[in-house]
Amino acid sequence: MAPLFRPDREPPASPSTGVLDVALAPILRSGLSRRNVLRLLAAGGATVVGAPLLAACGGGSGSGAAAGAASAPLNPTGTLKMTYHLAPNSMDPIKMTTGQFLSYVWPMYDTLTMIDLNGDVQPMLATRWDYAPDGSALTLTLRSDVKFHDGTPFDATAVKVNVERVLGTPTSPVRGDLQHVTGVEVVDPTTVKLLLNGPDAALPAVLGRNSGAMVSPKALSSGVDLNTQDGGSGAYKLVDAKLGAHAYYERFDGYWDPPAAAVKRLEIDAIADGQARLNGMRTGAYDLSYLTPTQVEPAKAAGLAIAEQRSLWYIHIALNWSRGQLVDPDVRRAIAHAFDRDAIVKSIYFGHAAPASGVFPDWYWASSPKVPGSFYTFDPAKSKQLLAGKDPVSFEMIFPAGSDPYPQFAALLQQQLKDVGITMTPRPVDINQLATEYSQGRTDALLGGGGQLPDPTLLFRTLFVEKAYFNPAHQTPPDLATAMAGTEKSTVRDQRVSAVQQSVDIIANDVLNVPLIYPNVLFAYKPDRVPSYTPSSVGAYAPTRGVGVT
Amino acid sequence: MTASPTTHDAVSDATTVRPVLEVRGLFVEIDTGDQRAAVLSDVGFSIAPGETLGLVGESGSGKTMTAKAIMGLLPRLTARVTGGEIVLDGVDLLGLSTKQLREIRGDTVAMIFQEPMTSLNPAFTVGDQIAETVRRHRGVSKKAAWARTVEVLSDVGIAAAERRSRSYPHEFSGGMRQRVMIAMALCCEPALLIADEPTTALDVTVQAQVLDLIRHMREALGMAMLFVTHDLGVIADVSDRVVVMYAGQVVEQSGVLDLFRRPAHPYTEALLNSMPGVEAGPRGTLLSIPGQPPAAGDFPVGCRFHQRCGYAAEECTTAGIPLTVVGAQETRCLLHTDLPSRPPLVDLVPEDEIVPEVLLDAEPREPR
Amino acid sequence: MTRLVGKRLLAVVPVMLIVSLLSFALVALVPGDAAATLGGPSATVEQIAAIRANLGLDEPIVTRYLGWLGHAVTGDLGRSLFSDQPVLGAIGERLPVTLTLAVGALVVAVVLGLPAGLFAALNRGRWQDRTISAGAAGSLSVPNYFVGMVLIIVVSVSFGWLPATGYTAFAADPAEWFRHLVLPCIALGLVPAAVLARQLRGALVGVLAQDYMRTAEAKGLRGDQVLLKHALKNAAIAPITAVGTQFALVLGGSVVVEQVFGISGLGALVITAVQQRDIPLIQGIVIVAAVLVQVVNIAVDLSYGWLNPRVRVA
Repeated sequence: MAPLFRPDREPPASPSTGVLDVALAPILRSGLSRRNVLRLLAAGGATVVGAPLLAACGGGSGSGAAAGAASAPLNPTGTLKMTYHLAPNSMDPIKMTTGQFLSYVWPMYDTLTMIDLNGDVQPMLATRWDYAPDGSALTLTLRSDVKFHDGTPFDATAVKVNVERVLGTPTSPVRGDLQHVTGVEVVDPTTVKLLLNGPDAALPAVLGRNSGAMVSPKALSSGVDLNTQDGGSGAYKLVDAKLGAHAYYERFDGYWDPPAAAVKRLEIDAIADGQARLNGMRTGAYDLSYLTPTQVEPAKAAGLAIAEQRSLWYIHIALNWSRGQLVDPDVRRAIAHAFDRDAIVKSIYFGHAAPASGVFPDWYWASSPKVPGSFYTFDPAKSKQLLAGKDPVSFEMIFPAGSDPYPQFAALLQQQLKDVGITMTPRPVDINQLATEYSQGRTDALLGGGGQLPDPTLLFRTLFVEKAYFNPAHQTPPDLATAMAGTEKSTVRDQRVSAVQQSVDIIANDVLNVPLIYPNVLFAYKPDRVPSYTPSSVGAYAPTRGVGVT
Repeated sequence: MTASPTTHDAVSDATTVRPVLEVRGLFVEIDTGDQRAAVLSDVGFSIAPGETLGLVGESGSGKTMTAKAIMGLLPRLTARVTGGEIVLDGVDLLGLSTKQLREIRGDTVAMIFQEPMTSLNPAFTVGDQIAETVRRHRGVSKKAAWARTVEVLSDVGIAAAERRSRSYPHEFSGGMRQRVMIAMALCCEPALLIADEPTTALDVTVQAQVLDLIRHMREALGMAMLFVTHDLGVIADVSDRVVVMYAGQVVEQSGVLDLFRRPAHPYTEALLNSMPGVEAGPRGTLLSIPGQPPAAGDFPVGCRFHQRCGYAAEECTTAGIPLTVVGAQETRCLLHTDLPSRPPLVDLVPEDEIVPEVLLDAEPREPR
Repeated sequence: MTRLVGKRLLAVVPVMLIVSLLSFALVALVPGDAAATLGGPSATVEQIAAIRANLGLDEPIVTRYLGWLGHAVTGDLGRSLFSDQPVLGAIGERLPVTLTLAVGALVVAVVLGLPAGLFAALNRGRWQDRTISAGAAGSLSVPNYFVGMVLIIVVSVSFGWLPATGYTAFAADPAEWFRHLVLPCIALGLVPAAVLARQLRGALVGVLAQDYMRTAEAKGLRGDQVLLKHALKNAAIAPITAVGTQFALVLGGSVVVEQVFGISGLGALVITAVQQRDIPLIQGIVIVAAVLVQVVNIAVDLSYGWLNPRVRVA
C-alpha cells in the first residue's frame, strides 16, 4: 500500500522551492510501487508473440536494456557506474519493501520469468509456463544449464525451496503476490508445478519479480546473510553491498547468457539527492543516472544524452469514495473534470509526462479505448453544472510533505478546484504516514503516485479490491469486484483483456480515483561511454541487463 | 669593566667607561584616539656597567614608557618612536628588526615588572616559564635548561626549588612570584636589568626583602640596572644615580646623594618635600605638590612644570627649557642661570647625614 | 583526574536514559509506523495488522520502551525492522564516514578559524579585523548545504578539480579519500570556523592585554612562542568549548551535507530510519550520537583542567 501513494519520483526541483527542500526532498521519498506483475498472464505468453496460449517462448538471451545502437565497440572488461535514487532496505529479494528495488535484484538474481522493457513477460529460468485447464496449477519448464554462483545447479527443487520460502514468510512484502499458490510439486529436475487454489493470471508476471528470484538452496540452508550477500545465479555476482549506500557487482563467468553481462563490473551508488546525482554525471563520476524532469535541460547542456520512456507510472488523486461529500459520484466527476492536465504536464513536469484519465496509458494493452487520456476533459463548466444545486463542496487532500513536486502540484490542484467552486484543503503528511493516514480513513483524498506494475491485476489488488489495505472504503462496487476477479481468473488473453477494460471503465465511470498524468521515466547517460540506453516502460526501474560501456 | 658596586657616586665612572645603555634624544608618540601626542621628548641618559640608575617621576611622567621603549615593548598599534637612539652595548636597538630584538630581550637586557601577581602565565609552571627563556637564549637541552632553572630559583631564595619549579604561579604568594620574576629575568645573566616598580605592589614587609634580593643579585651578577619607581625612598636605597622625569622630559639628573642633598629642579625638591619621611627635615613641613601633572598632548609651553612651580617666572612660560649642567648635576630649570631672584642651590640635608637610611623607613606613597 | 572522568561518565547514564526516552516517545507519538511500509503494496488489512502485532507495535509505548531498554542495557540495540541488520552493525558501517566528515570539518574549522582569529586579534580594530569579522558573520549566515552546492558548481563542475559526489574509504584509496572529503568538510567546517575565529579573537584580545604576555615578550621569546604557546593556551577555553559545541552541530549538519554530496553516512541512514519509522535503528543512532557528543563534552571539560591549572586543583 504505501507504495501507491508514495511519491515515486524524484522531485524535480522547481525554482520556487527552497534550497533545503531541494536538498532533502529526494531523500524523503523512496518507495515506489511494487506490484507489477500483471500482464502476463493468461493470455499467456500472450504479449509476446501473440501466441494464444500461455506458453512461453523459447530461451535465448533476455531482452537487453541496451538496444545496442552499434557504434564504438563495447569493452568487455569495462565498469559501468550508475547512480540511482533509491537504496534497497535489503538485498534479499523477498524482504524488499519497494518494487523499484528490483533494480538491485536483477543483476544478481535470475527470475523464473523476465519482464522485458515493454512490460511483457518473457522466458528466463522458466522456458515455458502452462496452466492446468482448470487453473489449479501452473507448470514451469526450467532451463537445465543454470548454476548458482556458489556452484549449486539450478533445478526444480531450487524452485520449490524458493517458493516455499515466500509462502513461509507471512511478513514478507511480496507474500501477497503468491496469494493463490498453495504449494509446489517437483515433477522432474526441469519441471515444477505450482499448485493453485484458483487461476491467477498475474502469476507469470509475479515470477519475473521478487518472489520469482531464485536463491541458491545451499546459500539458504547454510545461512548466508542475504541482506548483504550474494545468493543468486544472475549475470553478475554481488561483491560489495552497503545497505542504503551502494551495491557493486562483478561478472559471473559461468553465466548461461553471456551477453547479459556486458561489463566486468557494475556499480550502483544510491544517491537520494537529484542534484548530487547530476553533479556526479557532470563530473564524470558516473556513466548513467536516474533523472528528474527539471534536470533534462541542464543534463543536455552538460553534454549528456537523455533516455526518455513513456511508462505505466501514474500520478493520481486517490479518493475515499465512502467519505463525506465524496460519496456522491457527481462530486467526484466534477473534481475529475476540474483539472487542466495539459497545464500540469507543462508546469509541473516540464512536458515529460502525458495526461491521464485511466489507470493505464493508452498504449498499454490493458487500457480501455473508452477511457483515453482525454476521458476527463478539462471542463470547468461541466464541473459547475454537476455541482449545481448541491451544497458547496469541500474536502481535504494529503500529499507527501516536502517531496518535490508534490507541494507545487497540490497548490496547482487547489487553484484549479477553486475555479469550479470546490474548496480543497491540501495537508502535507510525512511520506511514510501517508498510507496509514489514508487507509485508516482519516482524510478524504491523497495525491500520490502508483502503477509501475507489469500486470493490471496487480494494480487492482493494491487499490481497488475490498480487502486492500489501501482501499479505505473497504468495499468495492459489485460490478467492479466481478470484473476484477475476471482479470485473474481468465488465463485466455482475449477474455482477460475484456475483463481488464471493463474494470477500467467502471473505475473511470464511477470516478473511484482521479488519474492526472503519466510521468515519463528519465535517465541521463554519457554518450561517449554508453552507446545507448532504454529505460523500462514499466516504471522508474534501472535495467542494466546487457548494458555495456565502451 | 666592572664598576665598584659600593660606589654611590658613580657619575665619574659613567663618563669614562662605555655605557651599557645610552639613550639619546628619544621621542615617542602615542595615539590618543583623535590625535597623536608626544609622550617622551628628548629623553636621554646613560648607564655604566654595574651602575644602578634610578628613574623617578609621578604616574604619567614617562618613566615606564621609557623602560618599555628600551625593551621594545611599546604598544605595537598605538605607540611609535619618532626619534632618538637607544644604544645597548654599542648597538642601536631602534635599528634592529623585531626578530633581532627578540634575540636581545631576556638575554642582554631583562625586565621585571610591577605586577608579580599577573606577570606570570597562569597556564604554565614557573619552571617551564623560566626554562623556556634559558632554552631560547642559550639553546641548551631541556635538561640543562631545567637545571639552570632550579639553580636560579634557588638563588632568588625559593626553598625546595626543585619541587617548586613544577608549581603553577597561583601556588605562590606575591613576594614569591616576584622572586620568580627576578629569577626569570636573571636566568640568562643580562648585562642590564630593568626593574619597573618591582616592589610597589608588595606588602611592606616583603618589599624590603625583595629589594634586598634585587640589590644582592645585581651585585652578585655585576650587571647594570635601570630602576624605575615613583618612590624616592627606594631610589635612595638602590641607586647610584637618578634621573627625574616630568611630563615626558628628563628634568634632573644627579648622583643619588646630590639629589637628596641638593635637588637641582624645583620638581625634585617638591617630590622630596612630599615624602612623609622628611617631615622632620630642615624645612619642617610636608608639602604636597599643587595641581595635577599635565597629560600627554596637553603639555604646557615653556617649562612643563611651571604651572605647579613655586618659583615660576615669566621666562619659564615662553620657550622650552634646555637641560643645563650645574656642577655634577643636570637640570632643566632656569633657576641656576637666568633668574636673578632665585635662592641659591642649597643643601636640604647636611652632608654627614645618611639620607637613604632615613628614607628607607618611610611609608611609601604616591607623591601627589 | 581519574575521579573527574569517572564522575563525568556516571553523569552520562541519566543523560542517555533521557535521550533514549525522548527519542522513543517522539517516534512513537508521531503518527505512522513501519507496518504499512513493511507490508508491501499487495498487503491486506489483516496482513498489516499481523505485521504490527509481530513487531509489537500494538503494545503500549511504555512496554515497548522498557523492552527496548532491557536489551539496550545489555548492549543489544536490536535489529533494523527493514534490513534485519543488527543496529550496531548498520551504524558501524556508516559511522566512520560521518565521523571522518565531522573531524574533517573541525580540522577545516581549526585551519581556517585559528589563523583568522589570531590575525583579527592581533589587528584589533583595524581593517583586517573588520574584514575577518565580516567574513565570519557571512559564514555564519550561509547554510552549509548552500556552501556545498556552490563549491560543487565551482570547484567540481566548472573546474573539475575535485569530485562532487560520493565517498571513498581511506583503506581503498587514500588520495581519493582525501579528494572526496575536501569539499564536504569545507561546507561543514565553515560555520565552526567562523565560530572559532570569533571566540578566539574575543578571548585573545583579552589575553593579549594581560601582563604575562608582556612578560613573554620581555623574555625575548619568538613570536610564535608568544602567540601559540603563551596566548593560545590561555585563550583556548572559550574556543575549545565552542568547537565542542560545534561538534554536535556538525554531526547534525552532516545529515544535509551528506545528501548534497551523495555520501552515505550516518546522516543518510538516519533520514531513512526516520522515514521508515525504523525505531530500533533510530534509537541506536540517537544513542550513538549522544554518546559521541558526551565524549566530546567530557574531552572539552578535561581540557579545561589542562588549560587552566587552577581548575585542576579545585
